[in-house]
Amino acid sequence: MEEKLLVVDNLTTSFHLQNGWFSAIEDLSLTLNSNETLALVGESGCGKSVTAYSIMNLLPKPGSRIDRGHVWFHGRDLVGLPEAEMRSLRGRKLAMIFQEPMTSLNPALTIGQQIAEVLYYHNGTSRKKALKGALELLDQVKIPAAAARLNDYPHHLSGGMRQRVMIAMALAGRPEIMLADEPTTALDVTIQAQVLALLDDLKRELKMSMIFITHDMGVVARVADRVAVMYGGYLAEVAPVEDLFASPVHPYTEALLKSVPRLDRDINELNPIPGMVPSIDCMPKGCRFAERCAHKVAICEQQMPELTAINTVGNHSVRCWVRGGQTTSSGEPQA
Amino acid sequence: MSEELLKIDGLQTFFTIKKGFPNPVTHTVRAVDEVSFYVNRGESFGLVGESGCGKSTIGRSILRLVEPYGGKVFLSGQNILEMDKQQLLKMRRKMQIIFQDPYSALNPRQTIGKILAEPLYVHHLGTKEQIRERVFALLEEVGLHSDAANKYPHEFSGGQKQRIGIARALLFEPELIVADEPVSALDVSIQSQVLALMQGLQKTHNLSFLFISHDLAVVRYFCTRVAVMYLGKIVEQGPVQQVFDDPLHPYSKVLRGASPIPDPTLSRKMLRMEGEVPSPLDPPTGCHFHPRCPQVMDICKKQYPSSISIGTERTVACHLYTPEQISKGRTS
Repeated sequence: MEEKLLVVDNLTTSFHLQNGWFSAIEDLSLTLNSNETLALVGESGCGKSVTAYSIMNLLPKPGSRIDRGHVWFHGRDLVGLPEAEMRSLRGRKLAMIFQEPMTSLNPALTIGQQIAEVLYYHNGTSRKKALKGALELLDQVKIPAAAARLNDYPHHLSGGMRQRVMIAMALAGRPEIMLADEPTTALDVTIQAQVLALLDDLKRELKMSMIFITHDMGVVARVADRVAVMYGGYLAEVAPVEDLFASPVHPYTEALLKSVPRLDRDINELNPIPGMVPSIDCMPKGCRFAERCAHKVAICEQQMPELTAINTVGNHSVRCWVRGGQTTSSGEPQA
Repeated sequence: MSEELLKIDGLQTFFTIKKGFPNPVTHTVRAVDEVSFYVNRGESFGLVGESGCGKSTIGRSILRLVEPYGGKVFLSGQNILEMDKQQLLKMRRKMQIIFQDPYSALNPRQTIGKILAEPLYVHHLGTKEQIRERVFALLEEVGLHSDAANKYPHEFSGGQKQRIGIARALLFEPELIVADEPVSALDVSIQSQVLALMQGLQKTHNLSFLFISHDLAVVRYFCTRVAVMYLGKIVEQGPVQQVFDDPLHPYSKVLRGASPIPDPTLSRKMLRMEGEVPSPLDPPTGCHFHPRCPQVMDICKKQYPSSISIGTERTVACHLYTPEQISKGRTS
């Protein structure tokens, strides 16, 4: 049943800073199966958004580049695909929604026009039909009194409604994959719950797969089938959501789960992770979490461990010298 | 043992806005309406609610950063709202505020040392040398190196900037700190560092916090008691465990149910509620929550429920609960 829809293979993306090129994600390998939601989790600067932008080929240019790696989608490598071909995929096969809907919507056009435009350009429908299509889409994302809303401008709408409009635009091309970059972070909790439920319903109805980027472990637990935890541009751990929360293996995942306050129970003392995320222009040698890690050994600060499977099924992988079950078995010489 | 430090009684803060063209009409927004609660010395009291519910306005009203319309605010028994400018200036030393966005709260053109020293100069507290010592001591207390004094705000990360914000709040050895979403802008791992710092400082300085947040989990961890707000009014208050584990008001239940919990076995059955918070410009008649309430009754549409006490520490403002019902033992 599980079909690999999107395969990210050893992707490395760099950004140009004042003193050279620095990688924001490095050797990132991921698969997205059909009909699943993969959550990308991590703190600011861990590379989760860069991953999505790399897949969509939306990196700001100049100033960034994909150094190596592939993104396989239906037998095609999206890396290095001509812009014209990428454009035909964007919206129709791959769609993206962003954190702040107000900055992604055109303030000078009505929402009806903006949604209709997607249909007009991607599906070649007539303008009249496109407007009708826009109405259907607004209904689909459960905007009340959709017909009246068509002529509203973005500033007429609340944050939650704007995000629904963004979702409607993303759905217009009936994409196979939806990339959602912190879509609910700017919303109030009750509205967040509504939008998450909507995304869940749509995903099931339209048989979409989703890459969901967030920093909120609570949201991850709510939406994800599988979770990829990122730290300092690398994948630290990939696991099915139940496994990750029940038995986190990577010290970073474990520490992260222990450091968040819980609504459903009393915690006497939080266990904050000491230190800070290293910035991309001064990444430490070896494992990037090493300096904050409570379990580090000598090799951690020398060499980056490989991402290795730790269970027999092979769906739970960890990049760690201590807990990854890879005591230099890769045959690499120890420094 | 518990001594009341801050007492707020029937606080009202209204804003007026003009809307319309060419003949603007003045509307009154009841941002905070008849709010009462107290904070004990050494305690953290939480205010939770969604955007626009008035929780930040309460914090600002207490410090008189916005002028309240009515009600009373007592700090150590003195009514702040009746003070003249001179008295207020003195009183402000006892109450400080920490803001959500530490970047916009710090002057980008001043060094940290200057930012921290200036208020001490303004209040004539010590010689140049003493002030320098105090600034260094404070920086160390909030976990920063003392050479931070020579740096500018942009040289610090968000977490460090918030530490500076906390250091500034501590300058006058205040009794009360209003913390307005102090960790909301921070990354998860930094959030817990700052929370741990604030908790440590609370113990060493016997501080009281009015902790304003939209994050229920953070409030549960940091506070002992909490008030849930909706459109300018407190709908329920009580000890955090009771309010979050067994919420009484339908809105508290919704808020609790909508908050994601980092546990995939629990959070799949997250509560859904349709509708959005109505505009505070034109709140619904009767109970403000009635258009979204799953247990709405006829009376809710006509009359705002009065707040009733449950036990010694809890209050709820909802027509579902009557004093008799409570004494019999509640049924949900």
